[in-house]
Amino acid sequence: MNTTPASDSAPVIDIRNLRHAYKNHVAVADVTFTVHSRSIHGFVGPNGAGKTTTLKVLATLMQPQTGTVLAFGKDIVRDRKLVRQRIGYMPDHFSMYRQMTVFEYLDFFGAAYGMTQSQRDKTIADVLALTDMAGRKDDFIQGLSRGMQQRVSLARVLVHDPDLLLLDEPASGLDPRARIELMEILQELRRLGKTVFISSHILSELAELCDAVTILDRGAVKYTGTMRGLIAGGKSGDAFVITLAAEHPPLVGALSALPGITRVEQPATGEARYTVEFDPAALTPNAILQAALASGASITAFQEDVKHLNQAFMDLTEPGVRT
Amino acid sequence: MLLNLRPLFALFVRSLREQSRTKLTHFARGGIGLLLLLLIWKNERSFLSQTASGLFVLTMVVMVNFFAIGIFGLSTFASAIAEEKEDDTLGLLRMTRLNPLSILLGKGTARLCEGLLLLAVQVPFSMLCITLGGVSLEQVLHCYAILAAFLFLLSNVALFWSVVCRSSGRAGVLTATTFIVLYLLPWFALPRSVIRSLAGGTGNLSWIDRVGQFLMGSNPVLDLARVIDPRGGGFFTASDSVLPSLVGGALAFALAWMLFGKFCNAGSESAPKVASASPSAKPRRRRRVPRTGRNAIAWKDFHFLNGGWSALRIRCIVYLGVVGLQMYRDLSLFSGLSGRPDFEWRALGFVLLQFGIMSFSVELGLAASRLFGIERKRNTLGSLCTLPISTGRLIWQKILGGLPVLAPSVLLGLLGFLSFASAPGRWLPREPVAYLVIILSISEYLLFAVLSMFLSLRMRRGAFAAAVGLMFIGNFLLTLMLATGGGAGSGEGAFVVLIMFVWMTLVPLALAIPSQIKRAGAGE
Repeated sequence: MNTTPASDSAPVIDIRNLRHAYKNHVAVADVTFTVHSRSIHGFVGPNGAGKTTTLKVLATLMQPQTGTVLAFGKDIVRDRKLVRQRIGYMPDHFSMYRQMTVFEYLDFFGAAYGMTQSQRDKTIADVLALTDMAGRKDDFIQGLSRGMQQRVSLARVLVHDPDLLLLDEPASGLDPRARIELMEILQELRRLGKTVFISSHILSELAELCDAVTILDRGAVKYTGTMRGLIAGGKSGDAFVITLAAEHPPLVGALSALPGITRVEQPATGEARYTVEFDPAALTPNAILQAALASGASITAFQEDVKHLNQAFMDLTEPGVRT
Repeated sequence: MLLNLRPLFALFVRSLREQSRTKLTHFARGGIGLLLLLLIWKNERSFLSQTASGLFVLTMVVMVNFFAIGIFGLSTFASAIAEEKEDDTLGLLRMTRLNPLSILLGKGTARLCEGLLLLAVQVPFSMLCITLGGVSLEQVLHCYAILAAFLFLLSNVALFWSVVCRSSGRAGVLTATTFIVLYLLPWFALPRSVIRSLAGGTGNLSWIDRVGQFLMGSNPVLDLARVIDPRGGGFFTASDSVLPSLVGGALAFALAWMLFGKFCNAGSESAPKVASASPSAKPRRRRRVPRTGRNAIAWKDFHFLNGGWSALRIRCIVYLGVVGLQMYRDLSLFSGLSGRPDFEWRALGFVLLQFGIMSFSVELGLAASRLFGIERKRNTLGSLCTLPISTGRLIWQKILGGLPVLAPSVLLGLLGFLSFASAPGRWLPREPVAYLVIILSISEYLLFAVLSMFLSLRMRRGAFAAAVGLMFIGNFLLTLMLATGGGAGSGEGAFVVLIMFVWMTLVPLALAIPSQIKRAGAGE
């Protein structure tokens, strides 16, 4: 398992050696990772990787068969009631009382969380404003579009002002505009101090949103850490790609001579793309560019070597159908 | 071409396969088989001493079958098309080469075939009745023909409501209501017919009397009684019910076909029901719902699951209407026969008590099976399970929200009891066994409620029907055990044993409910 420390802040979720099986099928096997406060943490994996099972354990719907799961430092089994008060769980399917109006729906959940009427009035107004549903509060849920129902679902999760949001594929089935708007709401929630733990099977969807990510495949954690660490893909330092107008062999020697260069990858015959890996503490990209120009190379592009997220995901997960 | 046979056959096979995978189908088959076997076993000794023991066995077999068709038919037939609507798969079916007629035949016929096969497989065994004596081959075949025709009628009426309604539950309720109207309502018009026929033939009967008599005549229960005991077992109006049932079934099917396009529009499946383009075009609320308070779950269940105050009002009106009709029937019958008005509070009390108990029994089972069954169907149980309350409190709140549903029937029963037992001293029974009967009845009601609730957490459909079936079989088994084990020797002892058995089943079931709720909530 690859790990990159995400943050120094206190962990809101701390999962150690979690295992859960359905009869003979092991859904989650020895999962360990942490989620830090005030962050958006992506939880990515192919279908059947064990994401929903882990989320259900976190949401206190299931008990861990082995291992420990702490939320806010509290054991989710022993201190279930306390944990439930501080989490908001949004499942991956629509589960709403469709014959209620939006306000009645939120009011019901607010009351079920033990809020007084005045508290509910204030919070419902806030969450409706945040989700841009204030104008629809008297509409029946069954009359809303899928995107709007998803917003109401999110508003329901927020109505008791939880510190941690557990969102199971909240963007599935939404159109591109609704997805972008949802991501904007989540960023706003991070700004308000919430911790968001969001699952998806599409890594690129979370790339710009998340501070950290955990990749799960076949019930095992394949990577947990920062998004940047995932992109770096285990390389020793930073890397840049130099693209030339034509092949220029002296460039390799010139760059290799620089202190702090760890590797210069020569292009295949006919290609004029050189990948340079270096220690950022000893060398700057500017110095590399200067050296390349000094060698007489005709440079057409100079850019950071960012591993494509999808490639990183493919490298970490195994092919084949999950059973 | 009206029917494309290949896709129709594919749908038929799929429906048969789905039916065979449903637990309820196997429970129903096993239950009927077990019950018939036990009935024969129980009465084995008396066969030698009785002269017409075949008649007795046939009566029991027919009763079990009629009961099973009624209970399991309502739950399975009424879901034929409605389940496709609930699963949002009807649109997919309509996109294929299946036309409405093929869909109706494919979905409806598979269930009907299952029922008919279940009846057909019993016929050879029922020939045993002829060997035992007292019945002829014609009687046995005629009984099965009546049952098959009733099955045909029930399946098609249920299919019709399944086409019209969006949910299987509503279709089941409307099917049951249709049969209540068809078979029970004519009873209220009966006194007029009786008096007029006693007064002088049928020549001057009004159209209401004629319709009432026709419906009474086509009642399969009366027809079965007539066929089993031709010397006077049936009612005087009873006649052949096979043809009316077949014609009625065909009419219901034709109606379902005609209305399929109107009620099974694929567009309404995925799209929101009310497409409000702008905030100003809001749908209007049908009834005023007060804001929730401390018992939020009870509030939600009362107003949104059980229909709130308006549903209570409707229940009261319907119950009082039925009681009024029953009173009218009794009064007109007695005063018509005796020639003087004859009203007794005790008679009213008896009617109220009877109806109160009957409606309470049905309402209790339905309410208990809906308590968590609806949450499961709508995938909302998981959200309730993540609330910061214990499972015990969740159950209590749900019960609190469902209790008002029972209020009208309890009130009727209580009023009936007070009117029936005119003197306060007569309220208290003197015999100790009467107290045991009361304790047993309460225990049985509790078991029925808990069983319905438990099954609704295990089964997606048919929990109420399965609970009724299991209660019937369980009670039968218990009385059989007591009869064969010598426990029936003393009446009080038998009741104590029965109460113990009921509680031995009730307690583990009740204790298992919280874990079932968690399991169902996590499984969504």
